[in-house]
Amino acid sequence: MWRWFSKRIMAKLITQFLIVGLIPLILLGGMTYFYSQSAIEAEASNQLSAVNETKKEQVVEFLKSRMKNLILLSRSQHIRNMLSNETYQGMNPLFEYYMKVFGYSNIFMLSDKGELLHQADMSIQKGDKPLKKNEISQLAVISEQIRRTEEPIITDMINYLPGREPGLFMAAPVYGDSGGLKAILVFLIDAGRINTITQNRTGMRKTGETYLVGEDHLMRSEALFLENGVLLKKKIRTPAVEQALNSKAGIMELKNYRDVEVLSAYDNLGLKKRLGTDFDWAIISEINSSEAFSLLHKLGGNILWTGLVLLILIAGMGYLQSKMIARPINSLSYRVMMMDEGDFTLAVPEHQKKRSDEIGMLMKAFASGTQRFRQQIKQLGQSSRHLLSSISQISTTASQLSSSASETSSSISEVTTTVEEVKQTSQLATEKAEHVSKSAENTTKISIAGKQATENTMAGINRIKEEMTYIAESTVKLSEQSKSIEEIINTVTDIADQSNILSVNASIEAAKAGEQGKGFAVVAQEVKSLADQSKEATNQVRAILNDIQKATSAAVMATERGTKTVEEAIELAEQAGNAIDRLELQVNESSDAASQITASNQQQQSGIDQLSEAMESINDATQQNLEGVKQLEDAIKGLEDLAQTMRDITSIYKV
Amino acid sequence: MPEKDILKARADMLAKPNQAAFEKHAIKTVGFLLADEIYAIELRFVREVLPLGPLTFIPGIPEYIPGVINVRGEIISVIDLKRLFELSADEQPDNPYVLILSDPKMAFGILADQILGVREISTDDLHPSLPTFTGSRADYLKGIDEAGNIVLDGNRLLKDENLVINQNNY
Repeated sequence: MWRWFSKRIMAKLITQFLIVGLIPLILLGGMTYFYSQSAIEAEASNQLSAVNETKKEQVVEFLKSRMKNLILLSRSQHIRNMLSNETYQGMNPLFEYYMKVFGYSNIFMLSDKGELLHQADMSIQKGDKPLKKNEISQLAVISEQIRRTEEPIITDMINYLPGREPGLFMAAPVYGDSGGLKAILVFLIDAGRINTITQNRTGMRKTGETYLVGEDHLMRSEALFLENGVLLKKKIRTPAVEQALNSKAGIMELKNYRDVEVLSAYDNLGLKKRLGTDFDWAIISEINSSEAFSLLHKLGGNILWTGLVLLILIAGMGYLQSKMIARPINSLSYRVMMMDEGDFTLAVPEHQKKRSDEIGMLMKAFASGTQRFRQQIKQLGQSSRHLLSSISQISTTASQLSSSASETSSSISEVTTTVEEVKQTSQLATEKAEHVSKSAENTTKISIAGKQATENTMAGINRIKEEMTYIAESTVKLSEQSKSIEEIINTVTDIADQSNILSVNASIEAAKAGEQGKGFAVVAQEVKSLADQSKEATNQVRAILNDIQKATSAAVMATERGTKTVEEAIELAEQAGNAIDRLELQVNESSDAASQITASNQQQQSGIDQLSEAMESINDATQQNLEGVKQLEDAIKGLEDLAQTMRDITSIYKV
Repeated sequence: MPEKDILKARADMLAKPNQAAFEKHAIKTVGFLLADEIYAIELRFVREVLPLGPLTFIPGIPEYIPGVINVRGEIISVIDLKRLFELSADEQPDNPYVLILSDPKMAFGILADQILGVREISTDDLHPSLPTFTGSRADYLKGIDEAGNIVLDGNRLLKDENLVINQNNY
């Protein structure tokens, strides 16, 4: 907040306006309020004191005048006459007159012994009976005192009869013509009579009131804010009452019996002093503080409202003024800030340039200066761009040159390498050609030996072929012979079978011959065993013959295969012979070619040496070329950096 | 007398069982093969054995008589026991043999696949016929020896009226 505030001219200006406007306002208002407060407070107090004083005087004067009245009446001839005549009824017109004019409630006439001789108002009764002589005890007390002092007295307010309004009594002695106490004249004044004085609301405004309090703190008059009947019943012990009962007068603020903040003026009636009574009363005048000082509150409110209006006016003025000054400065500040960031494009508003004061001049100068600066930067930017593009073209050409030079260089080195390789190859070729011609000679020798070997092989194979043919013939012969053997075996088998039958028949014959034929039976048995043996033997022979036959046929097959193989071998040997012949021919040709290669290679090598030297010198030239191009590139690079820097500088600005 | 003892031992060693006792129960038989089974018949009923010559077929006679042969001028009828016993007759041997059976009243030949030779069999060792031997075969059976060879009763064969063919039978 403070940062924001400290950065804003407008806020500062408005604040200063407010401070300048507010300080005198607050001082003036405060002083006015302060002084008015004391004046108003004093005024209210004075007014209240005056009221209290007035009421006090009225009450005292009332009592005083009634006292005088009493004394006058007690000393009047008329009364004395009537006393001496004992015509009490004749007093009535006079008494009634007094009661009506001076507001007494009743007038009593007591004898010098204190007996009730007469009362003006017969309506004072106890119940529905007429008042008896000593019914009101107060009267006895009064008469006793009068007889003792023979001085007029006033009693405090008292509830003299149940059901009656409280009242106070005034009594004065009545002397006879010859002197000496003759009777006592008593006036009864109702509390309501005094109440009318205190309740008089002249100058009391809304909440003002006056009341009386006795020394016993009981109220001696009705209160404005309480029900009637508090008289002699409600006790009030506010500080003001205490002060007043101590015979002090003054004014103070306090909380009264209603528990309300009030301004309270208090005083002692001074009855003891002024009327010689044995009692005294405090008189209190109160008014609610809020009402007493209402003027002050109103004044405060007015000051506050005026202040607020002034505040708004000042703020408005401040705002307008600061707007006039701060707006252009803000706008200028924003543009300069943008310039700081490189943006020159913001134009100064027209209405600010039109102003004729210093700010207008500043704005105009700023606008034209910015304009010139923009143009210069634009030109600078364009030039730098042109420069940059030219440089890049040059750079491209240089790099092309460089790359072509390097390519040339690398090509040259490749060519050189190749030439070297060719040289080596041709040397190798010469060596190989010599080797080939030597090999060819060896090969010729070997091929001749091969040819001889092939011929020998052929002869061997032919011999094998003849042998094979002989084997085949023998085998066929063997096969035929084995067949004859089989026939022989069959014949033998037949013979064996027949021998067997013969032996059986012999046995039969032997059996028929009985005992004589026994020997013959044995012979027959032997014949049979011979037959069996011969059969067994033929079987063995037959098995062997079978094996022989199988072996023979396998041999026949093998012989056939052997014959075929031998034929193939002959063919292969012939092919080998042919191949060796061709090989010899080829070898001879190779040998000749190798000799030619050797010769041409030697020529080639001298040519290659010359080529190599030429390549060397080209290479040197190319290297120099390359270095030159590199220097050129460096120079272009420097130039480009320069142009780039220039363009960067100009490109920072937005124009 | 050690020499005497040695001789005695030798005599014991070489001694043979009582032939006479054995012979009481022994019979001589001729063994022959019929459909891979070995049959035997008492030697005393066999007149001779000979390879089968040319058979002359006689029409109107039972199937088990394939025909008649001429034996040195005597006409002998031949019985095929394989057919008579209802044995498998699928294979006919290349050169069959004929056993001529004879008694004073009767003479006929029986075909045999092969002649095995003369053999002695103890009649004590003969077992009665097995339940598997059924049909006509059982009637001509003498017994079965320990080796499982079937011994035919030659007497019954020769005496059997069923085998005699005359016009009355038809």
